[in-house]
Amino acid sequence: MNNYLLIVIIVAYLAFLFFLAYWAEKQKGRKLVNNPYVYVLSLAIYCTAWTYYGSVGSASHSGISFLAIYLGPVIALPLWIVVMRKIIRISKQHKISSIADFVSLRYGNNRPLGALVTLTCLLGIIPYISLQLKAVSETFALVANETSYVDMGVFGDSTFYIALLIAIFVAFFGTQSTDASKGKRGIMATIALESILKLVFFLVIGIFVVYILFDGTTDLYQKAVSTPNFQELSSFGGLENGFNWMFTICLSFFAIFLLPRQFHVAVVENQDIDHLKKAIWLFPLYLLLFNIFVIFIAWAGNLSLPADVNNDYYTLLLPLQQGHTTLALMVFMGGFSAVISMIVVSTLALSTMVSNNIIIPYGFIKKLVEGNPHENAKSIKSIRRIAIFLLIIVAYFFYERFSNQLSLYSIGLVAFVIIAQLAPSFFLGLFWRRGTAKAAKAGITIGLLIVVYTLLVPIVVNALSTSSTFVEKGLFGYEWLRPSQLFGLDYLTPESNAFLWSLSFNSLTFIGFSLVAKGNYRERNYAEMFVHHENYENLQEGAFVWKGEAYVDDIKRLLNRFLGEQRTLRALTIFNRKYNISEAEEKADSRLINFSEKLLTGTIGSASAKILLASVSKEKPISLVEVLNILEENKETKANNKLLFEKSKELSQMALKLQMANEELLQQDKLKDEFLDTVAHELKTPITSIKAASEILEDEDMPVLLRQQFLENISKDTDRLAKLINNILDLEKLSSDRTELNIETRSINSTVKKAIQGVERIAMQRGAKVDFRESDYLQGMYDEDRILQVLTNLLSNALKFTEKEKGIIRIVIAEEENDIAIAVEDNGRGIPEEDHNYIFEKFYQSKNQNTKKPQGSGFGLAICKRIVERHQGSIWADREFQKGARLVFTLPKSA
Amino acid sequence: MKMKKRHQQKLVVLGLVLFLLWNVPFVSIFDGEFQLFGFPAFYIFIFLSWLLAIVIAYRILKKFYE
Amino acid sequence: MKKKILIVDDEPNIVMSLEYAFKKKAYEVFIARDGTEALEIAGEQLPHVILLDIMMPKLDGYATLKELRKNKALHRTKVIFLSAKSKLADIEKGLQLGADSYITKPFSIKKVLTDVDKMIA
Repeated sequence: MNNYLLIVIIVAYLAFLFFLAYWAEKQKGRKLVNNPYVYVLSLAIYCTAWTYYGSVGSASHSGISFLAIYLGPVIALPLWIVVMRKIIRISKQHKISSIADFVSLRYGNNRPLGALVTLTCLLGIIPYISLQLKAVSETFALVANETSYVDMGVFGDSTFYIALLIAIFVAFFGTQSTDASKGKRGIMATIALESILKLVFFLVIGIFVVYILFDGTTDLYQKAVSTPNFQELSSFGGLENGFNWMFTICLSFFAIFLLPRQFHVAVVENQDIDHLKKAIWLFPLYLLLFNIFVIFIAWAGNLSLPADVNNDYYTLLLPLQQGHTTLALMVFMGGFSAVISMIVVSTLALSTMVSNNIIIPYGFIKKLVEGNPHENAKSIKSIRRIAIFLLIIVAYFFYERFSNQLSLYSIGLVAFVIIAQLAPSFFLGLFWRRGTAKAAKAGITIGLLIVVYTLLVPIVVNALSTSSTFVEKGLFGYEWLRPSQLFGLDYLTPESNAFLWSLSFNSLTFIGFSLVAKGNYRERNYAEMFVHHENYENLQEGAFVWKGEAYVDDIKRLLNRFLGEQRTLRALTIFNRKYNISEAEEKADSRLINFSEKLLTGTIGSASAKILLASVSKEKPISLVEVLNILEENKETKANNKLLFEKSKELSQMALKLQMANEELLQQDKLKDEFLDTVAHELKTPITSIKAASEILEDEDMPVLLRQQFLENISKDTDRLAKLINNILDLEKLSSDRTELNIETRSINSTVKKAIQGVERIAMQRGAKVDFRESDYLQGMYDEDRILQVLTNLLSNALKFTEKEKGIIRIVIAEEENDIAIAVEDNGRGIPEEDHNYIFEKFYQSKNQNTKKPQGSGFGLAICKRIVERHQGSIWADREFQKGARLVFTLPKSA
Repeated sequence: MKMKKRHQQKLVVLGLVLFLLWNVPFVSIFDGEFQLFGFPAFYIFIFLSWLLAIVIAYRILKKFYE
Repeated sequence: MKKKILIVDDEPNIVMSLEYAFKKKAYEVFIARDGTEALEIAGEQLPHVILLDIMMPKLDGYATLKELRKNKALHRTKVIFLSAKSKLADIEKGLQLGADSYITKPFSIKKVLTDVDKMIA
């Protein structure tokens, strides 16, 4: 393929990524970018060119070892539910933007430690980036028509321009916000797309090789079996290899947590902690798919390609050999995607680390303190951008100088070994409170020195091809100091050898130092916050103990410089509201210090944030014991506050209930007064009538007929009086449960009929129809006289409230699980909404009766309620019923 | 969303089991000349246990992560 | 000329006794069972005395009295409340509304007769 055409394709592809990133950046908060699949795919930057090309190369000459690189993450992912959850939670709470921030914050915003972690990462990752560039350059050369290729030095090398374009891409989309802990949607969207492309194209070439070039996997196996070293390639090997294998698994296990780019996508770019739910099973699946065809491509390459080609590029050479240029181009683009995503995220993560942990805290901070917010934001962004360009340029020159001597696989592993030096302080720091900053620094330093001695020096020496006696014979000629076989262990690979010794000494130093000397109060405070994160998460700003003097104004001025006045004001308003602090408060407390530190951490890193705040406050050292006591206190206060809050909620609820009860009582009281008035009135009426009549009867001239009429009146009024008094007594008795009920099994049908007979006469007078649908033969357990009383009452009420000649009253019986429900419906004017709650209260009479004069004594329904309740039933008015009133009561069914 | 500690521990155990399974001595049990569909015994063992781990993790998360 | 008296009450038994007693005293007796009916009859007959119950259907005693007082033709008509409401507050309210007298139930027919006689003498 013409290499200019290839360049056009590459540029078009990059332009497309620019466009995609730009578009995704605009999709604020959309599901498209913020979903678990994008998260999983972004984790797949783990698969770099090393996976894409290096795995096949490794499988073709060293057999199984490539697989260990993926088994580590597969083992690690289930543990994420505990470990990564914790890391993400802590990082989100503290606005952590890189692994260097994370480690330095854990050890009390330790500035040198942050710088050390950053340097470690640079040491490991820059060569790694170089190797990616090397892969691009070499695959470019393979795919491009080599005859048209003219070497014109650095500026004629297309790889240089590709590197520059990538740098522009990262610089543009990676520094949109000064707060480095904020997600970069645009970049993540392109990463996700690239992860899909590289997997799909890799699977495509796998299928092509297995099913087109060969006749399936079995065919390939049978052909490959006869190759000379097949036995070695397809089996595990001896026990000694078992150690190399295990160390590689451990290396990759650490790498999935600690590689700056992995930390960046897994932690900093995590939009939602619940994305872990998908990632834990889906990411291993992605890795599995990526590995299925590796051995077959390797075998196929061994079978079909000459022995002198670079094994790493079998995936390209196999289709090219068959003249499938398009397929080769696809493979190239897949590998290119893997390279870009790796470089993009790595430089992004490294540039943040370099700016926040080295450049700003060690030099730029003074300038920032004097600048205004606009200038500062600009300077911070410029620092990061320059860092991005520097990183890529340095990586490019490293590639230019060393690329010929190193394979993808080995440099990848070297990077892993270097990054693994962070493991003791990272993991132990996460679960062990005692770890101190000094110990972390010592451990990492020792570990790095050992890696340099055992791994880097021999590589560099080999690369410079100057024979060195100490590599061959050991330092000062001591055999046991031979870098690659330290202490005489001669069966380990150089990487395993370096890993074993560096990590052993690193861990021992870390643990030893931590046990020998305690950390200062600040370290211990952060240790508490990290290790027992679940306890302190709720405490938030209260989780940090600080004693000293600081003024809100000074802090405000400081925040203004970095966040701008608007954001500062907003943040402080939220803060004040959250803790109920007065705006006029002059002195800052530890919560404000901690809050401000967090705000600044996202922008300039935790170490610089600490320095800045120290510059505007006078911190008083406190003892470790004091810190722990205060923390404990804060926890308790928090718990107490919660308790208090709950109690006061309870109290106010109780007060409300009391108020309601009081109102009810008042209402009852009022009702009682009204009732007594009514009773008095009702009693007085027949008495007046009797008294008047008896006075009139004194008149001896009265005609006999009239006299009889008056006597009859007296008799009726007396009956009325007696009935009234009986009702009052009845209710009293029912209410105080003094009446014995005569409960028997009875037919509800016959009881209802009896009740209807009782009101038949009044119904006829009012011209009302009483309709009763007899139901099945239902037996209830009740006192028939009492239930008759209820029914009669309900029926007479119904009659009373229906219009003359138009009344229709219906009795409906329904069978329920344990009860019989009896409903009395009428087509009268219904029960007004406001009366529903009261109609069953004694003394209550509807204000809406059409006469001011109460009809009846006001006991009817109250008595009904008492009777029904004594039968363990309930009575209510159906609010849903629109055509009139429907009163329903239930009675127990006979067993 | 939340997951109970007890169920989280299931995943942790899964990780530990994988680590043991994929290292000596266990891993060498499956190191033989046997092949299936062109996959050597060792790869069959690794890939199948890998797949099984994915299925188990999926089931645990689906059931208990709520 | 016969003295005219209007008895307003919804209790037929009470009305019956009063009617008998006043007829015996040679009053011309009119009967109303509620406030609206009372206003109607009062407007037509211009009775000298009205015996007015308070708790009645449709228009109660208080409202009836207010309406009656609006009629200039009735300004000489004496109104006596006859009520079972016997609290001091009720009596005061009745008198404040412009009733000429307030008799609580149960009453003595003789007392009602003498009071009415005195009032229109």
